[in-house]
Amino acid sequence: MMVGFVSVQLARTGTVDYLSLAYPAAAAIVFLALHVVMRIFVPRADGLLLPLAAGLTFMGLVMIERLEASLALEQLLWITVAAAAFVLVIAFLRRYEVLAQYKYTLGVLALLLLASTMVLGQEVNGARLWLKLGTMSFQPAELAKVLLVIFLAAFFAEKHEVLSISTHRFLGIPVPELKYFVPLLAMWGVSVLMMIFQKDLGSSLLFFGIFICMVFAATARKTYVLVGMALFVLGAFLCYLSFAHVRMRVESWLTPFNPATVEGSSYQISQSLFALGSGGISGSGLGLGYPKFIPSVTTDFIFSAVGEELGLLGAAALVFMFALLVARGIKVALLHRDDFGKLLAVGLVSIIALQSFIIMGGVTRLIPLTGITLPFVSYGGSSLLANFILLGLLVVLSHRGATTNVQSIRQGARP
Amino acid sequence: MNKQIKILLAVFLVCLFGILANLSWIQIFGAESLQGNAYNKRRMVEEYAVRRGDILSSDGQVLARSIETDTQYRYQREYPLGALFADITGYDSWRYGRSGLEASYNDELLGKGPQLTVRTLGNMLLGSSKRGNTLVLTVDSRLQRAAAEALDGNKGAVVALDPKTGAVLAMVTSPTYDPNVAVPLPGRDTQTAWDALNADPDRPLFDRPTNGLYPPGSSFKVVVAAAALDLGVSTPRSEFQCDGALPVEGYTIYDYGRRSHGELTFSKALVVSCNITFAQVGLRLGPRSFVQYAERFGFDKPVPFDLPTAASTVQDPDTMDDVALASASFGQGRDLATPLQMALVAAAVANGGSIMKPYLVNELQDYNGKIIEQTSPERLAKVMDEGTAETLAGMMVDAVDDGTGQAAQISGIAVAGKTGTAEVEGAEPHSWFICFAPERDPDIALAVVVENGGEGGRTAAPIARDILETALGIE
Repeated sequence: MMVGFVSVQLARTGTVDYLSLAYPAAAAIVFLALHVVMRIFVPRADGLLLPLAAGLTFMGLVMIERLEASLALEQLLWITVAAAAFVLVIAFLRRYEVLAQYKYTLGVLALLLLASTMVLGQEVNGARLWLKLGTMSFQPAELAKVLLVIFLAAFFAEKHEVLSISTHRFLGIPVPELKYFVPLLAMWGVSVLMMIFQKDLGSSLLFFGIFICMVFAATARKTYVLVGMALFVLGAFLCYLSFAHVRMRVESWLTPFNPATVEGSSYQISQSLFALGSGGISGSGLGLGYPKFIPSVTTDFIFSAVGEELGLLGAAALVFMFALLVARGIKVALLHRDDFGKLLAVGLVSIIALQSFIIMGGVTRLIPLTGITLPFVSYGGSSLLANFILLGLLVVLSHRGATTNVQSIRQGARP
Repeated sequence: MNKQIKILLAVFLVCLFGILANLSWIQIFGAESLQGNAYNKRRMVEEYAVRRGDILSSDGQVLARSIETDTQYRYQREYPLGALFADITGYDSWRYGRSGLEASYNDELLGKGPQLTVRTLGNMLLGSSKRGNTLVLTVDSRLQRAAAEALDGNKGAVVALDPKTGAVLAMVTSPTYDPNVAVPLPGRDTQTAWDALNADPDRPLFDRPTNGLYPPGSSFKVVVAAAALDLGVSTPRSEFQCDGALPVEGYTIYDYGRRSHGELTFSKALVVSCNITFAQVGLRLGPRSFVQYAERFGFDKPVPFDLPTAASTVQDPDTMDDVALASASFGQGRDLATPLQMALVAAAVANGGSIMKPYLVNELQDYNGKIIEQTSPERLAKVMDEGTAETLAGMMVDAVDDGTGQAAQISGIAVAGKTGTAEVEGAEPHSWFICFAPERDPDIALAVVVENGGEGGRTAAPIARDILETALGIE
């Protein structure tokens, strides 16, 4: 990280200002402190989760400082706030089971947060995601996704057996009773509403994806997955037909360099591709490319900036860090013994996996582009806060999973 | 439940590795086409971050230079002499693209060419701002200015060459434009002026010397005479009869102004520009020899040059009947020529029958003035025997001394020339004059065309004389 800061400065002015090295130093101290806190409160927690998150966060901080130096201090402050939230989570939520008792409260809270933007939200870049609190703006969807995962984990932990029972057969496939499709339909409704009222395709896709992952983990019912996907395709198709902005997204995905749109609606994606193309394998070097041609480069498109300046090598490193983080998170779920914990871990991991896939796939034109932040890396307070709370929960789950396993061994049971 | 969780892990990893695969595809195999995409600003910004080399005239005048701006396109072009060299330098503009030498020598001006010296490599590694190479032209700014002044706003073109090397000494088009208009600087919006240039019916952006195709009129008789003398079809003393009209296949060809020249030699026919004689010579040559010689002079393909050129054309010999051949022989058939081509015709006679490849860029220098590359003259074609060229030169001197080209006479110097009056439907004829001087050991070959200028001897020849006087140092 230090090297990153120094090379950005060299590229910018040719000299090094030692004072500004305070940023990386401060960020390093924050993570060192988190490590110590973890050793105290959750000593058996997975030792790779925090370093991976730190790697992603540092990469983000370096890129943000390079792209928009004035935002770096803000990002650093948010890292500190998010770190504090992380500490609170591991300090007070070590008995995460209490969350299951408040599942409906949390679920309703999540819905309220989502609904709040539909009613009170501010429209930014065509999507209504922001809530203004005084001078600060806040993206409720970021926090809502964590709350929703807690609710769904608790709900499925209680109901997954019922949901798995098939009493009917349809075309020879065992199908659960119709009423058990209600949660699925409800979730679909929420997603579609988000798509319609907030014009937020990214979050809508993310929420529904998380839900499908958790249903599948809880019930092993392919029917839910298939019906869910069919519903999503249907919903997406209806939106494609009825909303111009959705059609625009699909068109710029298919033909980013269409002369009619390349300076307009497909400007972002084409600029992102140009950035990646000019980066090549080794990149232009920090501070030596032109990532600022890409709109919202500090948030949604930060991955393209990494691809331009650090090249395929840097971008692949980011992808690997996400893959490792996901793999470690899944390991937490696998080793956990109670259903709520397992499902909670699966849900949290799904957030990271799907969110990083949706945005990285979007900016590289693998899938249609939908605006959403890259976890830990993108600039943004709400995103950092939510992701550190998520990380805190995963850390707690890994600690508890390891602890119960140790107790089981002591009690003579096989882990 | 663990089974499903493992499946989920597999799905997540497949998704993430999908991104990795796609990313590798874009950044390794797609990089080149993305970098070359017309909508990619990066290449432009990078190119304009280079301090482009200057373009200098042979007498050291700065024709184009780069000035630093604080816009995203850091170095931009300035043309200190304004419109004078517009058809040669062209313009370099982030908004309107490039033309002229700015386009054809773009790589050299950016320092991207194969002439990468140790010093520029060193600069690149040290990361200092890149600087391109300087072009030193063959064109003399004084002769260029004299040519532009001689043309005096008339629509037309002038091309002056050194017949021994092919070096272009002057190249003027009129009307022309100020290339500074193509460069929008902060606080200088030139869009209106630019639009006006493009909408102008006189086409100031059009390079007449290299791309203007005109019927050559009687100036083409030099080509026919070269063929006839070289093949022995006629000698300067061959006798011809001109009755002012010549019936060919039931069609009558008239001389200019239906004049009758009576009995005359071939030499005299060139001096008085007798169409009837040349029609008879052309018919004796036959279409194949006619086209063969025209092509030796460079017709039917673009002249290889530092700038894009249009191909001058003659009619396909297989479709040429006697009427077409007869009228083509005095330049009124379907043949079309650029001023550059006609200057090469004059240069071929001047240079003992050999055409030298024309060129504009004499030297390529790095930014310290060190010569990286120097153009060495190159023979393009051997058109006729040296003896033929000498005989023809003598006939052309007579045309200036006693014939249609008298307006180009310079006392004490033997000027060889040929007028052309190319008739056009429903308008005044184009006025041509091609010439070289002095007859022995010539320094300059010249083609002048004035659109709808009337008789060649009256309009183009005096313009040519003014230019020759400057070139030969006569006040």
